[in-house]
Amino acid sequence: MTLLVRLKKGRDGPDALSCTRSDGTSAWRRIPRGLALHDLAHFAVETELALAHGFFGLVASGWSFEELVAAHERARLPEQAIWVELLVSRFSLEALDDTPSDARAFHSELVRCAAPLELVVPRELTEDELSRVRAALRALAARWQALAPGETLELRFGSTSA
Amino acid sequence: MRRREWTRSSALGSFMLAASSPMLALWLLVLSFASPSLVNRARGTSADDESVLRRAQSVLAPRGIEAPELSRLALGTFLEAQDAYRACDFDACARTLDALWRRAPPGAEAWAALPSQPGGANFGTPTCYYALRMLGECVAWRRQQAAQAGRTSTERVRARPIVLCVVLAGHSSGVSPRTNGELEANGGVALAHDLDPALLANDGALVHESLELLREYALAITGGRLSIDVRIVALPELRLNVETRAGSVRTCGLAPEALDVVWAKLDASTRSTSDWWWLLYPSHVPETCPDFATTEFVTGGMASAPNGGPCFVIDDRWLVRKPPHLGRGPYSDGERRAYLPQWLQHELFHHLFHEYAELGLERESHQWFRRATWPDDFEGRFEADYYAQALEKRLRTPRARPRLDLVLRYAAPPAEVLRKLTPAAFEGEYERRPIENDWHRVTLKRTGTNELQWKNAAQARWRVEWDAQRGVLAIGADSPYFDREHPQRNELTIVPRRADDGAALAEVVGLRQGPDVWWRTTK
Repeated sequence: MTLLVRLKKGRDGPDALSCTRSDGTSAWRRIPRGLALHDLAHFAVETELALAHGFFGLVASGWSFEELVAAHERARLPEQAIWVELLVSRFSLEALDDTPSDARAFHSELVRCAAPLELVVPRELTEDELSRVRAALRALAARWQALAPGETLELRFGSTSA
Repeated sequence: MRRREWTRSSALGSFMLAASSPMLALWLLVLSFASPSLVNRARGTSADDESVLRRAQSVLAPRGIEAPELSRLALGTFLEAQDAYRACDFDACARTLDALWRRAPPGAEAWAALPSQPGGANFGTPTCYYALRMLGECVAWRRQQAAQAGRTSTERVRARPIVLCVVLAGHSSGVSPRTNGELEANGGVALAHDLDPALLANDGALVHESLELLREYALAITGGRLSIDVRIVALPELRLNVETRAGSVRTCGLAPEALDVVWAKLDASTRSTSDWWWLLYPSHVPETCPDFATTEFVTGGMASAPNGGPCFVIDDRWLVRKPPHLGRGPYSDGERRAYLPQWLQHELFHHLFHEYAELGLERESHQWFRRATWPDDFEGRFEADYYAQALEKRLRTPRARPRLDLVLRYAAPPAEVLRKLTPAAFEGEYERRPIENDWHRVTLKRTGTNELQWKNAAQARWRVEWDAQRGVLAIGADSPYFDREHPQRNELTIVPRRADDGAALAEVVGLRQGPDVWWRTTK
């Protein structure tokens, strides 16, 4: 289950996200400016924490972008996907505000956000995991920032090389 | 694309969001519980006349295009409504569409009075009408699903996606006329063309964008049971022969054997795991010659793939620029969003009406263009109305058997299913519908380990051999249908019984040769 993820920086318009599965099928979507960081946070969280049922994991296993927005499909989302969204949200906010918190505070905030969803946060991330995700996100964001308009950031999900 | 942006300074800093990403939709789902105020700001209201007119003007004015008010309303409505749809704001999408339909209901005469290509722009004819109706189907389904979410979702079967394989041929070559005289004489100069690189750019963005509404539409008209995955296969070395022909309809398209050439170039896995096809090849249209500056050449249409699946065929420039008879210049994003779904829908319905021939919805070619040929219970005026009526009153009713989403699956059964089939599984009686002669009633009887006899009611008989490895019945050389020049045509593929989710089962309900199916009538 691998996925070739390509994020293209738009020239005059939106950026674009392309995900090609190992069977050759692909999903493609324009994404508004600014949202690439969110995608990259997904990549960092799902790869560094080896979570197979987040956004990229679901797409790799055959979920289409359309299924992910369908109300009746959301009910089938694995709980891990919601957890991943919460994690991505926290890491993205941290990155934007440059206000990393320690593991305890990070977990508390996650539990607070998870409560209305009736989601039990499966576990507290360790300081090491937090550091790794943050480092991966910083590195990915730097690569993205360095791209000229029209260039593409290529990542492989489901393999060791990113 | 209109950007729906908002800022949440306290928590999100300057993080600008635009709700058109599936990931963001998920994120919004989370935030809708965690931060209702943020999400409420994303819930738009429907666009009013003024805003949709402004939207249309933002597209038309820079190009100096003037259009009637209804054309502008239709264009602005479509763009606004599709943006709302992309942002998962289905209620706003529906409200925006409803506002337009209140002004000019589907089928109203006002639509017929609109110019076809105002200012050389092509948003479809009438303006955006097909795309608006398709989007209407989509949003109605999405809202229905949203209303039912939580009541039925846990019981719902997840349908297996089908694969639409988009084949991009690298080159084309053939004789190209420079004048009407040369065209009439089948003359001209030998020319070769390469695939427009725009089709491969940005991971096939043009292809994906052209398919966006059709893919949603397929989901909607099958109640969510037919999700289409796209697989783009570039064959940069492939060169296809093209021909330009005069006649009552002028054509400039692939030579007859082209599909066989393409099929032979595809790897076995791609062939067996793809359901639908879209073949794009380098255009050969001589539009730069003054004689053909406004000439319509037919460059493609709907073909039947060897697996029986629909095969859209068109030249590459169909996605890039307006052909001379449909306007001028390159396609804008808005034109492509509105027009390409119209073309794809048109071709798909040719296929659907062929698959359900017994419903008699295309007894005459393109009969939807002649109102007098419509079934008595059909309402409306335009081709798109005909399709909507066909769905509502035929294809989504018990009269359409097998169910739409099951008929439209053509990939070969997986190896584990094929392994369960023996020649005995094929024995029985079959018929091709409609039955027009005795060759359309057939009995299959086992005569050897892997061999069967195909015998029709006209008493003609020949051998067929079960090839379990490839999952086909090979037609014997003693058959009058045996084609020595095109060996790939000498195969019958299996139409399996399907589970509710579309999975192939180890039971043969029919045999297919190209577009023809012999349906089993006995076990």
